[in-house]
Amino acid sequence: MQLAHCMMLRLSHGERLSGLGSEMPGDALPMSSAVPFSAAYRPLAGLFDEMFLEDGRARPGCEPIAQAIRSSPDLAVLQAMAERMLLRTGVTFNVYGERAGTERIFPFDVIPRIIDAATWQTLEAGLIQRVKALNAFVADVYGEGHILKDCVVPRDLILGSPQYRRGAIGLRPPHGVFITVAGIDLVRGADGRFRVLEDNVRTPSGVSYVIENRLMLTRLMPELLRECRVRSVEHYPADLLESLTELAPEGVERPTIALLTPGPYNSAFFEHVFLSQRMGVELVEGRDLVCIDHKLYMKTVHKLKQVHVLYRRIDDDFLDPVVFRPDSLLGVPGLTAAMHADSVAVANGIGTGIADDKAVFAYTPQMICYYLGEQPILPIVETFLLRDPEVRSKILRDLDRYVVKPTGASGGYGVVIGPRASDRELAEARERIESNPSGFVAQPMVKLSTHPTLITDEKGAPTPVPRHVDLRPFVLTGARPRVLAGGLTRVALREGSLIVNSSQGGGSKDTWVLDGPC
Amino acid sequence: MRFRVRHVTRFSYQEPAYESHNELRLKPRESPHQHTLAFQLEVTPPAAIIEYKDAFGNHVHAVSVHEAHRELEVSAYSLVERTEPPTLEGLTHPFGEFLQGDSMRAQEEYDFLSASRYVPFSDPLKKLFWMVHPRMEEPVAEYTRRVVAWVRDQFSYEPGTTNVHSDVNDILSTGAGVCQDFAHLTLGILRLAGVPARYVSGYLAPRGRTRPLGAQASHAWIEALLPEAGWTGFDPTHGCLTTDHHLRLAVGRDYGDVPPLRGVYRSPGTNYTMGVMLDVGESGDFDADPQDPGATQQ
Repeated sequence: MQLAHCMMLRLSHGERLSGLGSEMPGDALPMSSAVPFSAAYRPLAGLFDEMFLEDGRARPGCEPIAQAIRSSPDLAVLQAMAERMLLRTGVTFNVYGERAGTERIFPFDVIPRIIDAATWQTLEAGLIQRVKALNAFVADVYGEGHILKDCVVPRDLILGSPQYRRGAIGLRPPHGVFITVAGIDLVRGADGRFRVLEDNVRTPSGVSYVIENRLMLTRLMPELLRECRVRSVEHYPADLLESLTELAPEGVERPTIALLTPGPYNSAFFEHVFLSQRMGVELVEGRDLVCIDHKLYMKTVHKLKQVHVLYRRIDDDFLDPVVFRPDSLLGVPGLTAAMHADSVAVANGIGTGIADDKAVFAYTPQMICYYLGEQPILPIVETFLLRDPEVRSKILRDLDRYVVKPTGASGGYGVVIGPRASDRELAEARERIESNPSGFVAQPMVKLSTHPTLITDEKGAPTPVPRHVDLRPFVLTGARPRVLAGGLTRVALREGSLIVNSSQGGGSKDTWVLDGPC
Repeated sequence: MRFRVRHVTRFSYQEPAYESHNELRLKPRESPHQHTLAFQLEVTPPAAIIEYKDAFGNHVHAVSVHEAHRELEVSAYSLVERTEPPTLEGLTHPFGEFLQGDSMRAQEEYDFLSASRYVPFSDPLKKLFWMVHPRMEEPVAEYTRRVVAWVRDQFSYEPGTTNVHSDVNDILSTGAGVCQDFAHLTLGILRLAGVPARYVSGYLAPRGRTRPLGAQASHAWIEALLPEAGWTGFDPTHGCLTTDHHLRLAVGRDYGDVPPLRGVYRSPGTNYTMGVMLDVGESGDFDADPQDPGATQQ
């Protein structure tokens, strides 16, 4: 059907595919369910596969893609084309710990990840609810501190967090929005239920891959995309621009917006360029900006131009040497004072990291109840604070069953996966925990769901095999929330690996949210 | 009692400075025993100034000068009403009882019971604490007074042995320091004992004219949160309670939270000199205009 049609147009292997298509006129669902999944792909026992049921039938909505997998040689051609396109467009990222400026292609897998309309509807509601509560929390801990006074979240956990910024106290951003851009990492365990693994509300990245990935599949399988009624993602830069515009200081009708980057050595520099171009706003570094009379200006060829909203992609610590690290050359001296003067809005606001601290994460369900009076729609992955002596001794006894994360780090750095760790790694982790218990949390190992992913086998033939995936949807908040349909699906390309971070050998997939029932 | 304060800080740059951004904590903070009747801030060259409150409720002025300048002069004038602080009399709450509220206080007063940048809970500090640890039947107020007097006895006041960025380990290794170090050390001991304690930056008004005008430095002391009394000032440099001559500017976890003046600027050169002129006197006590900034502070 639609896939066959698409393949026929695009590829030279049209014959078999068109034949397949002719078997299934119109309604794809019963047909493909009837076709037993046979050849190449086997879901792993005991894990949730995003595309196939254990008996080999495709999940509802996934049938068209399932058919494509049955004909993997054609996919292999698409994959090769995708890789060529990637090289041409230059979608790259840098890896910390390697030589500065080492750019890598972010691997892309051509088989899209499907989310049906009903599932997405729940996810979207859950994401909006979650980000609303996180925002309320940030505004509260830098404002009145009600949640601390009411002992819902322990005060020492907040005040003692390296992410807590006393310099943010007293700042009142427009609409009370501290978290303009949020990336919420979701995983799906063996039961198939989506759970929040962690929040990213400082300077989350990855959205440029979402758009690039879609662009690629729009070229490679346009008919399939259309027939599946996949919701678009291309409007994200416009949504971001609108959200930022809504944060402009009062009385500014047509704000000037700029994107502040730490520069080309940053791992997400590609994305900074991408977003600034798509939004049509200036990409600036700290040295391009200057504060005069508590207003922010950028230096242009002719004159200084006042900036009303700054979308910053540099960390708090480097933002303003007057208030934060005095040795920072990346930021803008006087920016915090300009924020106090309400002449400029900065997104995300200062100090949002307190909401994605991995220890604070354990309290996020309580936050949703506390601020919204609602039950959380999205559950979180159970999280244990190792600073509690009882919890600690229990976890340390069975350390090989847990994932241990440092509370301060992000990007997968410093994570120890108990079941995969050597005795030596476990002993080292135990030592680190015991010397600084507050610095770590433990989570049970989630057996991440798998998704068919093209991997070249030992004979050199690309074959669809199960690989673990997660999902990072993006939530924008201006005067109102806007959720990008889908998000970044990351895939751990190494067999058995559960680490999907791009810095740790992960790749990505296009994520298809279907518009309406299939 | 009323006091006038004139606090002038002058920076002279060898090469022109520009894009100067500063945070000032020079406006006296209110307390039940201290009211600011008038405050005025003058900056030359002309500067953009806004005022806000920081995390600890202190007054902050953000002061920016964009144009190139060779000199920056910041003058803060305050008229302050100070009443006699209460004594420790009748404060009998014993330490043993006090400790029952320890876990709750650890939450509520987290900032003032935890280690901070200049007050790390180092091994030498812990060792010192055990030399002056509380007795269970001892009133908390009495213990605090004892710690303050003990620090004064054990360490000597010697300008030049430490600098503005010294932490407790420096005074512990040299055995000497200035008011800032005495304050940090006392904070460390009290916090280890479980008594919430915070750093105070301010002025000590001279009694009569014992010290020449223009040569007084800013002062630093501490406040402890005592049961039945609330935040109570102690001056570890003098080993006693604070008096009606201690004028508070700002409070924080340690010096890092309350420097009177902190900032950055751009300049082709790196050399500058800073002069501080400070006049604190009873209201009407001085009107004379000393010619030039005198002592350099650090």
